[in-house]
Amino acid sequence: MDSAPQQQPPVEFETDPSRYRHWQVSYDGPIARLKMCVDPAGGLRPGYELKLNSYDLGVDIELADVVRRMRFEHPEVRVVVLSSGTDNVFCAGANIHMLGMSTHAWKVNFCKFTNETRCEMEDATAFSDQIYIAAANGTCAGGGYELALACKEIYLQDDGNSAVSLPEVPLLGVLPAPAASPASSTSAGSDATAPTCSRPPPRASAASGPRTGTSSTACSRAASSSRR
Amino acid sequence: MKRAQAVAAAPVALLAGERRGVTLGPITPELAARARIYRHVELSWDNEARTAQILVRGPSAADVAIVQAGAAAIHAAGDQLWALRAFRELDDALLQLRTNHLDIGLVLLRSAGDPAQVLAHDAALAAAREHWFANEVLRHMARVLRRLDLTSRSFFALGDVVGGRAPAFAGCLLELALAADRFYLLDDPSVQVGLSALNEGALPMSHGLSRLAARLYGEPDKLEALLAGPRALMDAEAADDAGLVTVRLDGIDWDDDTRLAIEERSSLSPDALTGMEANLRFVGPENETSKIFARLTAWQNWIFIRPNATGPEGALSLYGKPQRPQVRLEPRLVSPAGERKQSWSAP
Repeated sequence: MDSAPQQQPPVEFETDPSRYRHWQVSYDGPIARLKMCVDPAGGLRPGYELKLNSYDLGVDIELADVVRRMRFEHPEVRVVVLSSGTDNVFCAGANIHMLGMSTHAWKVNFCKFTNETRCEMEDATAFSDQIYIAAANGTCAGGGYELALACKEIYLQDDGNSAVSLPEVPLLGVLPAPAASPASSTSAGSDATAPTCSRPPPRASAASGPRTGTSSTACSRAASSSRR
Repeated sequence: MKRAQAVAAAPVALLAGERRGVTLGPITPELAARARIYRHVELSWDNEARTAQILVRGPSAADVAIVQAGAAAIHAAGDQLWALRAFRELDDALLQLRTNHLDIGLVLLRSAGDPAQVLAHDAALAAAREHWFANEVLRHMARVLRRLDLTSRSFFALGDVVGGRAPAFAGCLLELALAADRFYLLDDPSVQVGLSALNEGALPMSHGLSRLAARLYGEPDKLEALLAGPRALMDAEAADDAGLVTVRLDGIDWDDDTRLAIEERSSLSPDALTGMEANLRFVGPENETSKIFARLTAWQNWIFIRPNATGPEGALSLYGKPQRPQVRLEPRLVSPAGERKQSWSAP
């Protein structure tokens, strides 16, 4: 993070399911369920806490491994349902404290890797018939919404709490994370996410999701629970 | 879940082959003080010279025989298949360079092996791509090569003879040379390059062009002549005439000319040429993905070093703190001292 590989142990990109700290994967025939359960104490570097399913490079290394193994090791899977295993939040995006502590080079490499990983999700949908569906059972903030955007369809839980929030719009005057936006105009374009990218609202609730184009469908908690 | 079940049940024309998964075993490299040595790939680095080298060894005759035996044999080889193992190793080497070797600005790409074997390998693999596993292997190769395209370091491909070992820049390994910012080729009878079916677009760049089309952008006659020509090896002079080579050097000039080029590039900061090189790598049309990566470049060079974001009173620096960020509306071309942290400074 800081100037650091000299002071910190080098980052290793190879992992396997027995070592995952942040993701749970289960298989049921053609359907795989992928739950994001980020361990707050599992940051790749010391000095920040991965609250609210926020991610750092370590979280994304595991996600990239999941997506790759899904294609090679589980060719029977047709649909990957991506949801959160953390209460009330789907994903809060890149961890801001991690970004604040990081050097320019670290931020660049982190963002590039997350971007490539989301492109891998879209690549799997396009070329391996493994379709990613976001079951957003909580708030999607910033890059968390970008993670959902990498899925072909987005379902947002209509519980009065779940929402799409784009804090970068008022704070930085830019769209959320640099990651994943290809989804907005490619795979998910037919699901009305594309207009989101032209002028996204700072916050859209589940009820307003389909209207504003931030989600494919809003589901009640009971409905989304019973569907799982 | 109803929706997931409906999507899963939707009819789709799946590729052929038994849908039996292939376990991806570890590719654990042997670690040396200045090298990571994989089975088919070797990454080495020189911190003082600020250069690294990636050497990729081409397929052996036995590797080619497996692929030529057909889709079932390719599937049976699993994660030990040369094309999968070598490109997984290359992927890991690139990620290591990006994250753990921040001071290295120049990467030398070398290949070794028999270029004729690479062409035979590619022809057999391309013929098997209607099998789901062969398709996955090819898609993976394409993603790894895109990772190379998107790595913000300079790449020089060096096609010389090292220790009596000729390069194997043919077919899928020629993609390394085509992805490089410069391709130096030794004019020597033992040095040959060649195109395979995989150079025609099976391993596309982020913006959809093949690397061959990007290399010959604006020279459609040369591209058409190459695509219409035989999938055979050519010598250095023919490769140069075809437009594949940046600099062709004879044995007398090789050492001095490449040394000067390497030292010249190494004297600059690691990402000094990123923007210019990206422009040249991604010539031609843009698509959604290339636009996003272009936007990422804007983030790299603008958002993350902008005072309103990462300055002492910037929004990122003050996130979670009681103070409000101070947004300055006037353009500030010169950042206040100390707000841009760099791990490398010019000598």
